[in-house]
Order: sequence, then structure tokens, then C-alpha cells
Amino acid sequence: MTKEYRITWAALVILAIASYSMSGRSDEELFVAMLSATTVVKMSLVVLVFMEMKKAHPAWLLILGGIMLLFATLMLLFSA
Amino acid sequence: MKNNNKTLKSGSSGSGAARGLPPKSTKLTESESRDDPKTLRAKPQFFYPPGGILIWMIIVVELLTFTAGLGAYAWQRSLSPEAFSISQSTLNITAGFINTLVLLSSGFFIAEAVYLLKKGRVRSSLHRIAISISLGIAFLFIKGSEYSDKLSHGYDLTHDSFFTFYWLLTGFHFLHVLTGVVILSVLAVKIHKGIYNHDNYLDVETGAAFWHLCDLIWLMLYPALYLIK
Repeated sequence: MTKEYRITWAALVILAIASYSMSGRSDEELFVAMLSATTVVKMSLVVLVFMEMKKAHPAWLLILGGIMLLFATLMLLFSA
Repeated sequence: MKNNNKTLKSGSSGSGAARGLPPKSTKLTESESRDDPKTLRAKPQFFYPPGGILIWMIIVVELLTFTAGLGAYAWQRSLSPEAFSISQSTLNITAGFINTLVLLSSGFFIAEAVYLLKKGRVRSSLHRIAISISLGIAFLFIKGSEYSDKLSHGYDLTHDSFFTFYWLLTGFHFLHVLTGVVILSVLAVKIHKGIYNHDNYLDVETGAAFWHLCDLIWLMLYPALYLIK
């Protein structure tokens, strides 16, 4: 289990570095989409692995996934 | 702590009876079985997510609140992108990035702490919680320095629309991290005293879930406020 946490942490750090490196070009629509996507992936990793929700009732995953998608949609909608 | 250890050792090598559990041969009644979190954890049930339903209701409400706040921010920015861009360029992207790493690492250590506590490795669990608390304080220090810098340049809550959103959203998150540090400290003291252990860890799971909420909020705030221009 701790190995799974370590792999997840490494993935999160790589994604955070990727987001940071995108900062210079984030005025382009494609990069806003990529930033939103990496944010959703990072949040999903925290929820599923660190918060142990991968074995939770599917309704919780639907609710949380819905919130993440809503966030990404709002970011894309108003930056277009 | 010592007394608890003695109690455990005096029982038949950590038997259920020594830990306050019913003997294995005793069948649980239907109501007892229904109320036992371990029994409920076996199958995914909507009302029993890790940490308890109350914290998850709080998490959902908080995430929705911040999503609404960021949605309002993005809408306002779309109305006057140039003014927002000028104010946004004063933010320290690197400090925000370091804070992202700090919170993600803190989340990793608290996840390990809960896992190790469930395995009965109290000392290792306490070490992880101490690291998480230290990282939480580091986040507060870095964010505090950023706030101090902004205030010294006159970028307060009323400076413009961007800074109104910036102070409200990051300030609210700052208070969450501060609350989280206090919660983790209380949990650490109670684990040290033996109140929470591998048999009684639900509150620790709840506290950890709140700490992860701080991660989740920051993961939304950082790209929206600092990176997307």
C-alpha cells in the first residue's frame, strides 16, 4: 500500500511540474484544456488513492467526478 | 500508552477480547453487525465512505463552494481579461508551485500515517503526522510571505476585482490549512496517548480526509489563479 502511495505521489509531482512548465503558454486555449485536464487527473489521484475512495460507493465517485468536470468546464468556458 | 500496551500483552497475544472486541466465536446480532464500521467497510455503502459520511458531505459542499467561487472569478476575468492579466502577473508562480509540492507531499505522508496506524505501527504513523504538520506550517509560512509581499505593494482586498477574488479564495483556503494543522496536532497527541490505535482510527481517517480536502482545494486554486491567463 505504501508503494502505491509513493507511486501516486511521484505521479502527482510530475503532473505538478508539467502544470508549472505550462504556465508560460497558458494563454492559449489548448494549454488551458491541458491544465484543466492535469488538474482533474491530480484531484482524481488524491481522491482515489490518498483518500481511499476507489472502493467507495460509485455514487461518491459520480458526485466527485461531476464536481471536477464542472470545474474544468468553467475554466474552459470562460477562458475561450 | 504504557497501560494499553500492558493490556494488549496480558491478553492472548493481541486477541480480540484484549482489544475490546467480542470473542471470535460469539456471533454478532444484526444491529451490532450493522453498526460495526469494519463490517460496513466490507461492501461499499453510500453512507459509510472512509472517514464517515459527515466529512464527505463537508468535502462535497466545500468543493462546490470553491468551484462556484472560481467559476465567478473566471466569468469576471472573461469580462475584463487585460485588467485581470496585469494583476495576475504580480503573483509569484514559483511560490505557488512550491506550495503545491508541499501540500501534495503532506497529503502523501498523512495517507501513509493512516495506513500505518491501521497496521498498528503507531510510532511510524506519528512520525508521518509530524512531517505532515511541518509541511502544513511550511505552506502557511510561504503563503504568509506572499500575503505580506502583496500587502506591502498595496494589493489588498479592495485593490481591484482580481485581488478581491485572490484574497477571498486563497484566504479561505489558508484558514482551512490552519484548521487542518490544529486537527492533525490534536490527532497526533491523542495517538501518542493511545486513544487512537489500530482498532480505533475513524477520527484519524476523518482528520486525514479534511487535510486532503486542503490539497484538493489548492489543486483547483493554483492553476485557476496563478497559471491560466
